[in-house]
Order: sequence, then structure tokens, then C-alpha cells
Amino acid sequence: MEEQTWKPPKWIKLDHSAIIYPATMSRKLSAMYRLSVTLNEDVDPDLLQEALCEVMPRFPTFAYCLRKGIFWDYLEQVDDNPTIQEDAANPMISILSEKKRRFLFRIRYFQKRISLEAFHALADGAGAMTFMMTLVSVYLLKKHGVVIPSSQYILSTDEKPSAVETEDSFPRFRGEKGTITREKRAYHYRGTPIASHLLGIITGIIPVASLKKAAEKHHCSVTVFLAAVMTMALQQQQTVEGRKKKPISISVPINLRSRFPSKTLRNFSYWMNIGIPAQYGEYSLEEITALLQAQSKIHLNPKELCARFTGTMSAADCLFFRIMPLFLKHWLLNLGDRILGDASCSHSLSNLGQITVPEEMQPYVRDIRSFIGRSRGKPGSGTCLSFGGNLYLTFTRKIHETAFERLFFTYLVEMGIPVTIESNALR
Amino acid sequence: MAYCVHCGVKLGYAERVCPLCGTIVYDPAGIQTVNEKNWPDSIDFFQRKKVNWPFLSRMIILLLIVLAFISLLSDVIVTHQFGWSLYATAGCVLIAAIVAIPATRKSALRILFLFAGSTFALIILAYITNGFRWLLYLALPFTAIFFCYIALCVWLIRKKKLRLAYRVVFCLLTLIISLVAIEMLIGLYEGKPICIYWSAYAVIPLLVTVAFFTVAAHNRRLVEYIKKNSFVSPE
Repeated sequence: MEEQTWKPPKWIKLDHSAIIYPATMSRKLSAMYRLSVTLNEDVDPDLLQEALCEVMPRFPTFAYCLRKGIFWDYLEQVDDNPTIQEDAANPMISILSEKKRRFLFRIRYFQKRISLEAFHALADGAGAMTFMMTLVSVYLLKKHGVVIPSSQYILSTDEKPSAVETEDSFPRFRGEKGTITREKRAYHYRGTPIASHLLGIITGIIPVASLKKAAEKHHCSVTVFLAAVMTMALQQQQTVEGRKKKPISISVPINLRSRFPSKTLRNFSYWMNIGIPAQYGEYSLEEITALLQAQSKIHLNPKELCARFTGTMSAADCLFFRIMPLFLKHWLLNLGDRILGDASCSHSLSNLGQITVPEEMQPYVRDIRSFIGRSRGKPGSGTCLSFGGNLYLTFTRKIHETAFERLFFTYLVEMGIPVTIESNALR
Repeated sequence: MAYCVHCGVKLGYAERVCPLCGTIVYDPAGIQTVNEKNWPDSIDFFQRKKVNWPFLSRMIILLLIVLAFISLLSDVIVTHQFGWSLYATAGCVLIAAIVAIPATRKSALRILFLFAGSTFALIILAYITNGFRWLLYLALPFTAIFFCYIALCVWLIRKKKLRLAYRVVFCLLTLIISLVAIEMLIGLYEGKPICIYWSAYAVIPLLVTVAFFTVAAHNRRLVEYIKKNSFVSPE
């Protein structure tokens, strides 16, 4: 069946999962994430700019800026073309820092690296990855004349954007009954805060084969294994800090496209919190993996997932909330984010999964990485993806101390898993 | 590529110290000569247009002067006397005194503006209500004490050479004197004999606080002990 083409209107509504981001965004909290592709040669900025202009019509939802209405935030079309920027040592400074009718993303370059920094209201990791990989494929076509076929993350620029790619998929898969669960306050480690415009970044490069072997040994998935090692590190940290013990919980975003058939390039993800009640005693890695694996199985059940996002949607769709003026909505959402958001998770682990590129592209791409910006409550966040046999796990933090990262990576080394570390040298 | 001797992780080419523990990379063979950086040196800053507060405050003051003038003029034309317009003028003068704060950077001038504005507004109110007695015996001395206290506190806070504990002590002592003076003023106005009654409730806890800060100013070990136990840092 042929998909219906989509003509971009002057303005569009934010999708259901994006409503919270404009409310919680500030100078300190950018609500952004970043995807980087490192090539095997230096980037040509002129060609990259040309490629970006060519890609934009294929991704019309990226050509919108954020505007405030009386009752809701909305996205308004921007007629200009975005311009690429040079990279900086402190990525993902808030999108508020730019002029008023701004694009909600930046394309940056540095030596061999092309990066996309996107505001979360625009798209989630999967949607942004498609935009990024299509941009790189068009750039490579311009630079080397290599024609790269369409694949999971690469769209053809000859095709027209379809309605299914730009839809808000949440209402389509909404269930009848929803639920909102309030979880206990989780443990957050403390440290000396760094300046609000800076971000500490540490990337660990880990061979996927050795991680899979270790995960199989513990009868769990790679994501659960990594979350379990993070929990171990947090448990150790909590013991060292010597404060009253609290539960340890890891927030893991879920790409709903793998459970609900959607092709949207906008937000279509949810999250689950998995963890241990650390106040009851010290848990071994075996116990933690078993607990987390069981919890993730429950949370990943499509019916459970559907009920949870239906609950959130019902709260946003209630008449009282809808008729509330925008400034009150922002205040309420901020309050909700403080109570239900980061307070219930100690750290986060976003796994974008395995990124595969077509054979024609492989000789030009060295690595792909991703990470997310500052969080409100958590001192740090983790993001990983695997590409070319390696898993690139990046921890970002808003404190100087790297005790948690050190504990995490040394646990892996002690298990015989080799780790290579790179950073933005901020200590 | 090098390994960190403490963490056991392999370090990227660009790392000069281990990002996890801060151990300096020592490479006797000098293999680490690859001139590749992970990140550029430039830093992004949050750029936003700065509001020109001095200009804006001058504009608002000008607007308030015009408003006061219009109200006085219209009152005279319609009723042939100054009535309601005096209330409006007093309000405008008070707002202008507050708005004038960002017009200058000198804190002494800011306090002077506020003092002059509030005094002028009080004089207008006294003229309207024929209450020059409360103005002279109560309102003006009270305003003078209040602004003198604020000016002294600002001066003390900026006196960085003086130890913080001493600055706090001096601020509290002046507060005690001000409170006692205010109670005496009220007594004088009411024609009662001079006595300290309600101000004692404030003076006693303030004196205890003064005693604590005086001890702290002389006892560095106590300050260190409080500082050490107030904050917990992870390993």
C-alpha cells in the first residue's frame, strides 16, 4: 500500500511525549541529546552544508521552531535553511541560547566528526539517528560519489516525506485503561557541581563480543547486564558515602517502535525504571542481574507499556489540564518532573541498540556515538550503542568527581572485559 | 595507547591523564605522539541579549514624572485644588524611588534614592492628613534609622578585609541598637517614660547569636569542625 505524502503545515502540535520538554527546559537543562559519526577523513564543511540543505526537505519535522501559545507550546515552520557550526568542548548548550526563531537542532563538525545535537521535543534517538545517517550518506555521495542504498536508518532523499513518518504515534496505539505509578525516591550520589554551561563526558569503548559473553554468563541481555554493573557501582558508592540507604534504580528508555508497528521519526519512546531495594542489604551481581532481568521482562510487556503511556496521555488529555494557561501548565509539569521524574531513578542508561550501515558506507565510517545532556536530579546519564563490533558507552555528568564512572569501568575490567577510555578532559 | 596503572583501562590517544582517576599518563617509549584531539578547545557560552536596566529605569522614572504631572494638572483644572492627585503623586514618587535602584551602580546612591523617595512620599501623606507630628517624631526618625542601618550593613558586607564572623557581629549589634532606638522613639511619641519592653524579646536572642559568632571568630578549630561535618563528599 502506498504511503500518503505529507505536506508540512505552518504549525504542528507537539507529540504527547514532547509536551514536558519545553516546560522543563532552562539555561541549565537543555533537554538535548547528541549523535556523532566519526569518518575516516576530515569533514569538508562546504559539502556538509550542501548535504544538510539537500536533506532538510526529506525531514520536514526538523524544520520547525518552538513557539508558545496561550494554552500549549507548538512547533512553527522555519523557512530558512539551518547552518552548520564548528564543534565546541562543551556540547549541548541549551537551545535557548540562540535567536528566537531557531531550529531545534544543530549540526556541528570537528576534524573527522559530524555531530547532531537535537532538542528532545523534535524527535527521539531513533528518529534523529535516521536524520543523521541520511545526512552522512548524502555527504558521502557529494564527497566520493558513493550511492548508498536506503536501509533501517537511511532514507532516500528522492522520496517524499510520508504522513506515517511525521505522525504522533501515541494516540494510534493508546489503550483503554491507563496507569500512573509513583516510585520511591532513589539514591543520587553527590559531588562538586561544575559550571552550568559545561558537561563532563567519558566514553568507554567495549568489544561487543566480550560483553555478550558476560551477559550470557549471567543469563541476561546486554542492556540489563550494563544496568546491573551500574547498580553495583552505585551500591558501592552509596556504601562509601555512608548516608541513609535508599533504593537504587536505573532508568532505561524503550524504543516503542520495536513493540508497536510505527514508522514515525518523531518521539515514540517510553522508559522503565529497574533497580534494587538497596536499603535491605548488599546485593551480589548475580542477584542484581536476576532482579533486573525479571523487572525488565515485566516492564517490556506490550500491555504493561501501553497501560503506562496511556496513563500519561490521559493525564495530559484531561479537561482541567487542557484549559489551563501555558504558564500554569509549565509550572505543573515542572513540579511533576521533580516528583515523578529524576527523583525515582539514580542513573539512566539509553541503549540505541546495534547500528548497522550499508556495505557501501562502511569504509568511510569509523565510529558512531551518542550521549544525552544534563538531567535535573541525576548527577549523570549513560548512553550506549554498538557499531562495528564495539559498544560505545558514554557517561555525561554535571559534577567534577568521576568515582561512579571509575567504579563502573573497573568492575568491567575486573571481569576480564577490555575497556578503552576517551574523554573531553574535564575533571 | 597507554593503560592506567590504577584503573586498568586502556586510554585513548588524546588522553594525557586518566579521565577516571586523574593519574598522569607516563609513556617512557614516547609512543604517545599522535597529535589527535577528541574535542576542540573552544567553549560555547550562553548568549542572550542583556537588558539595559539603567536606561529602562530612567525611562520609567520619566513616565512616572509625566503621570504625576498630568494627575496634578487635571486635579487642579477640575476641582481647583490638590486632592486625590497628591495620593497619585506620592505613589509615583515611591515607585520611582524603587525603579531608580538599577539606574546607578553605587549602592550608597541607591539607598539615598530610596530614602529620599520614601521621605518625600511621607511628607506628601503628612500634608494630606495634616499629621506633621507623627511625621517629625515617628516616621522621619524611623526611616532615617532604617536606611542608616541598611547603609551600614551594605558597607560592612563589602568590607572583605574584615573576617566574616566580625561583620555578622557588627551587623547584629547595629540591629540591636536600631531596635532599641525604635522602641524609645515610639515611647517618646506616645509620651510614655523611656523603657525597653518588646525590643528585649529580639535583643536577647540576637545577643546570644552575637556571642556565638564572637566565639567562632576567635576559634578556628570550631569553624573547621562545623565545615568538615556539614558537607560529605564521595570518595
